[in-house]
Amino acid sequence: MTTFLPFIILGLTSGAVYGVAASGLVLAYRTSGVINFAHGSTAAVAAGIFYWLHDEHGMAWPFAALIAVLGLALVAGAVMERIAAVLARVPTTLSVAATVGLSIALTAVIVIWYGPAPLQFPSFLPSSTFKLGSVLVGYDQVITVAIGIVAVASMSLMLRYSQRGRAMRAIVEDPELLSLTGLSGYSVRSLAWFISTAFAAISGILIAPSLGLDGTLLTLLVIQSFGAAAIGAFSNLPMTFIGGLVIGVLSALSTKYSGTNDWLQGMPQGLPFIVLFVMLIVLPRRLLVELGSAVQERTIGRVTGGRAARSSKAAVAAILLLIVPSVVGAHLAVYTLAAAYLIILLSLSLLVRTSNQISLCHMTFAAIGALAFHHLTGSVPWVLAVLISGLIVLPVGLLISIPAIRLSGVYLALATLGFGILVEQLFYARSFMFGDALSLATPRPSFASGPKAYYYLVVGFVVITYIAVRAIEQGRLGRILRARADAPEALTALGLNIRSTSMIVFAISAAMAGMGGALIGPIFGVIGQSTFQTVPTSMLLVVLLVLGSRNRSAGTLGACMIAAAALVVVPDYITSGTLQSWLNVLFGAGAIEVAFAYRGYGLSSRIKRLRSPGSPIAPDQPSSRLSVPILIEAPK
Amino acid sequence: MLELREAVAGYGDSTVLRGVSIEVSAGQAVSVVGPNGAGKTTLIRTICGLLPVRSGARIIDGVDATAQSVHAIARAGVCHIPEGRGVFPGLSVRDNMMLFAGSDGKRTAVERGLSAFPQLTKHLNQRAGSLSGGQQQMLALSRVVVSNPSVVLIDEASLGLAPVIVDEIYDFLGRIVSEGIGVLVVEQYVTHALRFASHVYVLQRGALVYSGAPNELGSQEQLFERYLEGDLEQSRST
Repeated sequence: MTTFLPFIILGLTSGAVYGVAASGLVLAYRTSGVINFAHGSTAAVAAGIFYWLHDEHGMAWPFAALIAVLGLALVAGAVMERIAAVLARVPTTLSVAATVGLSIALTAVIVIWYGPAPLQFPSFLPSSTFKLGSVLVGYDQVITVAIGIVAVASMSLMLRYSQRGRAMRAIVEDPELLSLTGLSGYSVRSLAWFISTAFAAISGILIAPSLGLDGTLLTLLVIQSFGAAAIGAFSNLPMTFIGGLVIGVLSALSTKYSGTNDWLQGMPQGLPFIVLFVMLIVLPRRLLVELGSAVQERTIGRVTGGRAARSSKAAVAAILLLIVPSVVGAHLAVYTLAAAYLIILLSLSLLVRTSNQISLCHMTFAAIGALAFHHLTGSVPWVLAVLISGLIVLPVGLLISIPAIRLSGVYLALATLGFGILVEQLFYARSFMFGDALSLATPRPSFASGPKAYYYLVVGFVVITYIAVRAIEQGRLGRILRARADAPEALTALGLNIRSTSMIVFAISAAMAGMGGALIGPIFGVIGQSTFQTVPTSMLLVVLLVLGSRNRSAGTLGACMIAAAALVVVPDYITSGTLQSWLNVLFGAGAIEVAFAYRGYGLSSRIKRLRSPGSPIAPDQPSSRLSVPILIEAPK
Repeated sequence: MLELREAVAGYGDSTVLRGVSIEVSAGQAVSVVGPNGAGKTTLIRTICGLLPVRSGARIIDGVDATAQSVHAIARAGVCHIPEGRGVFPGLSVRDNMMLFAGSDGKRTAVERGLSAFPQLTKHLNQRAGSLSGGQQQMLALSRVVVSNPSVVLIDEASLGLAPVIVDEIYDFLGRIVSEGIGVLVVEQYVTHALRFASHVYVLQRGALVYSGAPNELGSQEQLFERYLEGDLEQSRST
């Protein structure tokens, strides 16, 4: 027992922090219907402010903590309430993209502020220890756990017994009725976001000494929060806190063994998501009803322009793709990579646009495809190897589509994010994946060994993928999928099995992404763990796809081309890291702007709304169809 | 005392109410009737502030409340019970009643709510969404006694409910009128509405076509003819 005890105490400490963060996440979700993917980066920003006040300007830590927590919470209470009020009414795809975008932007802010290298974050709580039995326990650990318990317990009591708490529980069900009882929805939601952000900030400051001031690492706090929140079924706060403790302890215990057992190496990082994934599969479906989905828009944007406009756009795209090698010179490899990403984006758009499902693990599919290709190459003809790689990913896609059947919207996004992190943390280093080898050979075919020839080959695959995506969108499957996104019950009434259709489209989309991944390897000739950093890239893909859809006239291919260019090509031309970070900030702002535009809030009306925050969000004011992005586009 | 003067309101680009003036005074029972799509629900939503008054005025107790927000109007004593969903389904009956009390008076809220509808006593800890339709409507109506309003607006009080329950609801409405609360009822089914009210407004195509005592409106047949005439005019003009 004494060998376990230190790990348990360590785990309880970090678990209390996860529990606080997760409770904040759940509170905001329960009151606004928005799962805030930027919760972790909010924590990171709080740690940054604390570091600036305490470590750089010598302010006593209690004051620094108070200012960081209250300051951030006040700002978020005002700003996030406005953002969330809009996000609650847009399709999940857009709202997920918006908070993911916000997360990317906030993380970039930390990088701009403190540079990309993580800084040492000195411990500020008393570091003296006392003996509990035979184990040394730090006072800082006791204080951390106590803060966690007090914070979550007082919030649970408030939710249960105070009028504000009752209003917070009621508002997500019927904000209109709440305002009819004389309680302002604005003040209720603001308070919820205030508390939620304060909790994120507290957890960020408490965990920073053990992680360092590292924007990316602190942002991952949201991941532990998701796992803990899943244990509380995204609703029960005390259970959520206990969930945090469970995840903390299990992670700490797995660190004890990860040194000796190969299989447990990525376990501490992957564990929260194993929990999340398992909970999403085993929890009764009625507990996972998406909050506020009743008030979400179901309108599916219709695309303008007929066949002629469409083919002229395709011609422009084709010309752009064809002239690239003759104008870009030494940058060609990057454009080839962008073309391969175009395939992944097209596969993602099939999923996002036609069936309104969201996947945050498409890069994982690409990685599996690339690996399959590595193993196949040499033994089968090159083109066949690419196609088989896609086929190998097909059953993986089917596996992931099991939660896709049960879950909708944001829960599916969470499950796919969980899968992506799981594969990256647990399996990338295994010998059946990338293993210890720094690079695995992925050669180009003999008939297209030059960079130019290979570029055209990839473009050929893009064309085939595009034709396939269009065929699916226009065919019976596409029609069923759009109808499914629009009115699933009506579809069931027609006698169609909507479960199998969502599985099929998920599998097809995964297979296409796998093919895209297979094509990435030969650009460099080798692949390794670092070629496929799944999580950040998968998140970026979604945000970029949404951003690409901002311009209505761009169409499917146009949206994907814009996204691929922004993801791969632009960063290659920008050598300054700071500028790249600023671009990320812009991405985030853009993702939020897209969601706002969907609700028909142009810049002028948005400013007006900010001035009169009490004005009701009238659900009956139909959003302007004109500003609907072609995210979910119906082909003519 | 609540008044709407020459109110124009609508959704998005479309105008539904075209200059409607109505008033509800203390202890007065008022009905608004009209065919489908006449603008009855729009009218009630405009009174309570869920829809802005585009032109005209909303006056509560002699004070201009045209630009007030929904919760401010509610606090000023206007209690709107929306059609079919006047309760928070996920909260318990007790929590619903406490919330109905608004920012004050929640201490005695449950007691007062139960005194009006004692049937709800044994369901206090039950989720409101699991109650029967009639019980949910009673819970919704308990807001009237809990929140202490001066005017009550009810949208489709009897829709989808059993006749016995409808009678009970109208008994309750009669009681609160006699206590000095103004009540405005919007109904598609006119029998109850006409029997209940001392003043009737007939709404058609977003405008009032009748305002006066129910007995002067004539028989139900005549009322239906009125509806039909409107439809004919409408089809002639289009």
